[in-house]
Amino acid sequence: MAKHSETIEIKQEVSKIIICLGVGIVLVSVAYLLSWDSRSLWPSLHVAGVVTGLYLVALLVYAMRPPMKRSVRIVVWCSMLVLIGISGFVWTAHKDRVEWQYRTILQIRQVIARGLLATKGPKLLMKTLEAYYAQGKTKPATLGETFRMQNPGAILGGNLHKSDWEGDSVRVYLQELQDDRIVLLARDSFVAGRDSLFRNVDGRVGKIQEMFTLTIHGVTHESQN
Amino acid sequence: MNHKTDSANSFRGNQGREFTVSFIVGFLLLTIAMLGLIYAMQHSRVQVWSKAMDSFHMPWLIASVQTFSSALSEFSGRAPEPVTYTARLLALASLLLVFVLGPTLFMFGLRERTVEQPVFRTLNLKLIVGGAITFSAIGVIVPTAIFQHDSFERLKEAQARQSNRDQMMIEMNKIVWSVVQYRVLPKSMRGGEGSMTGYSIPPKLAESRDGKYKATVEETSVRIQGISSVFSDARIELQISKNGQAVHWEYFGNFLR
Repeated sequence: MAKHSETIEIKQEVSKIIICLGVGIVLVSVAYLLSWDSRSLWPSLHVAGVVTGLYLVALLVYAMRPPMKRSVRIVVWCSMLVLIGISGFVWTAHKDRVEWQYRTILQIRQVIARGLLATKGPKLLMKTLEAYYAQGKTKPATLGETFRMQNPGAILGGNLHKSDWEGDSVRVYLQELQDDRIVLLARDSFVAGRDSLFRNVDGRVGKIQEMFTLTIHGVTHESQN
Repeated sequence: MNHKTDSANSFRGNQGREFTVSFIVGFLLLTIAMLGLIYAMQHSRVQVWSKAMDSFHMPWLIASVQTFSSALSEFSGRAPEPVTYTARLLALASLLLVFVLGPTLFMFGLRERTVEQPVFRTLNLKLIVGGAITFSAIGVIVPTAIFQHDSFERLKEAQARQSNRDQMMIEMNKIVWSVVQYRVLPKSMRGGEGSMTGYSIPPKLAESRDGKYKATVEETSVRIQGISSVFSDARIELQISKNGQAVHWEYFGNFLR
């Protein structure tokens, strides 16, 4: 008879754990799957994290119910709440850190790209300026003609930059070609600029773009995006 | 029915036995053993395993890896790839194991240990398994909380220094072009007509929020000195050859750290 009673108790105990675990697993999993984002894990984790926190509180209420001693209840409640708090803090602090690192990586890329554009753009124009003044005082060729001689295949709107490597995303477009004025627009295909709505010379949107203008006075530079 | 069972069990002579000496000793031993195991893994050759354990204790690390992967894709000019199903399942499994399964077993085990008489011997396993999962997670999360803030601040400072240095290098490259232009332009256009003598940095390039620059014209070169406006004792020196090439970069002070 006693053995039979013990078996019932085991079954009840195991049932309670299974039900509790089942409820927790289902709630957390549903919350996780409902906030699905194909490009990031964070939304799913955040929603599931909040549901997990609520589940843990409910678990505490259930497991710490009387006849547990008041002192034990207080100790366990406080410990668990502190631990939940620390986990939440580490979790959010970690996310802030990762997002900062994400922004930093892209910022580094932007700095590299701007550095490259600031080198590639003026290089072509400086060559033209040098050749123009090397003609002496008579200057039989205008600035525009000098540029055409140096870049025979150049057409308006065409790219003048020869790719240095396979993934080179720099392009330098000839925007304007007159006898006394040459304008180049240099942009990077992938790197985002300051204004996400800026329309780039090649139809892309929001990428960095620098403008270089050559006159007989020299090269001027304007950062457009 | 459940309430009746609980009440009946609670009066089987366990009154006043919460946190008995053997329980506390066992608990402390378990905690120390888990912390020792984590310490050993972090300082031994099995660091890969240790890192995997860290990821499993902290599901947000899996999301971090995925975020980094996206950042690196964008850095290389590729579109970020969607999150893999493996990563999704791992993060969910980690969350369920550490924050649902572990605490649930531990709480039930603790209740049984302190209030109810174990109905059969193996039920103590709940306390051990649940405690092992929960306390090993705590052993990873709590030290992380303590050290995270400091390491992040150090990282931010290092990045700010690097960013300042990069920005100054870009600005100094613009100065290089102004030197080249000066050398090319005739004297009638305020140039050097083939020489760099008399060059001075144009006012709009001489100062920015990142640094202040000054030029010293030498016999066959121009030396540019950039002093950081952000970090004291941080400076860059650049030598430009007579052909207008940046031939030598040198970093001093804070930029060497």
